[in-house]
Amino acid sequence: MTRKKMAKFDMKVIGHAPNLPFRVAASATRAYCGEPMIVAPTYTSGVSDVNTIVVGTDTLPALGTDQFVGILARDMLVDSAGTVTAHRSLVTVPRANETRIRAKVLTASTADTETEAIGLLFDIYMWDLTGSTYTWQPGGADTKGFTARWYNYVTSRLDCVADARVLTRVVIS
Amino acid sequence: MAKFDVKVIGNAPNLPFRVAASATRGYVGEPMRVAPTYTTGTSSVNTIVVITDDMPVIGTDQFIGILAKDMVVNSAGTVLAHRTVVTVPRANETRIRAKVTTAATADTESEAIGLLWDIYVFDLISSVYTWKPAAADTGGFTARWFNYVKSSLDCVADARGLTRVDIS
Repeated sequence: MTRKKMAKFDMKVIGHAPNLPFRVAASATRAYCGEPMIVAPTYTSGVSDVNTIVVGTDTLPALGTDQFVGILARDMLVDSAGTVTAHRSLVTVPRANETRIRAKVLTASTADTETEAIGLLFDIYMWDLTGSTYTWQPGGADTKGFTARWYNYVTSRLDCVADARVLTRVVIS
Repeated sequence: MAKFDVKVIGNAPNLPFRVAASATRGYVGEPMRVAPTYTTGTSSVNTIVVITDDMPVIGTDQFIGILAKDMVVNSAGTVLAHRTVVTVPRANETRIRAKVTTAATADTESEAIGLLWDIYVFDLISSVYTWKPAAADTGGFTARWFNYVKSSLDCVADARGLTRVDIS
């Protein structure tokens, strides 16, 4: 499955974070370097029902629902038809409450002055994908996975950190 | 004041944060926190402040890290709105070194060893930040190492002391 437009390099990892290998399934939604990745397993007696990561869809992640893995560090491998092949990929895995993830805000005019941008600090964010581009969207709820920590009002960008609880397993039963 | 009271040992990045005008003046080596309340994802505050006595408590205070530079002030000593830099510790990894509040409780090796894995908070009753026994299981730090010659402890921050406290 492919998307019409690319979101390559939408998100950028700032600071310390390792690149680590993860498995991608054949025919997964195609993803590009700079896109956020998640995993959504359910567990039965400790066994996961999925073994691979997928690209994040709109308005994710939420604490207790989605497990954010990190930012894809390379384009997914595809065949001549553009279909994703099963492969090993690399993801930049952020450290909770430390590694900052930089992206534009969904509505640039809400963060294009310093006063506006400062007013967004410590607000809660998720990513938006409605325009085939990943941007920071206000969480609209206290349970979303990111918190704004710094800004660049010239480019209407925010640096957000991932909450520890959105980087960990979501199903414990 | 309490300059250089607390020292970060090991790996931890220096990251920018915003300080509000007229905030309580902070100096390099002082612990910082943020205490927002959230309404549909919007924070009530956008800036960090120095920690006060008996903090942080898990579920109440969000510990940010140790201030890496003195706050910027005007000629009257009043803090200006500015960008500062904080050394942000990694949960359960980066050790934070300070003296204990009552030096006599950690001035022999056996005493100091007896404090390991105990839970601590910051004390500020004498204008100096020191490690104080939390006297509760909800304090934000755990003692991991010691220097009994200096009566100091190295503590680590709990992951829950570094994360958001208000989820409703």
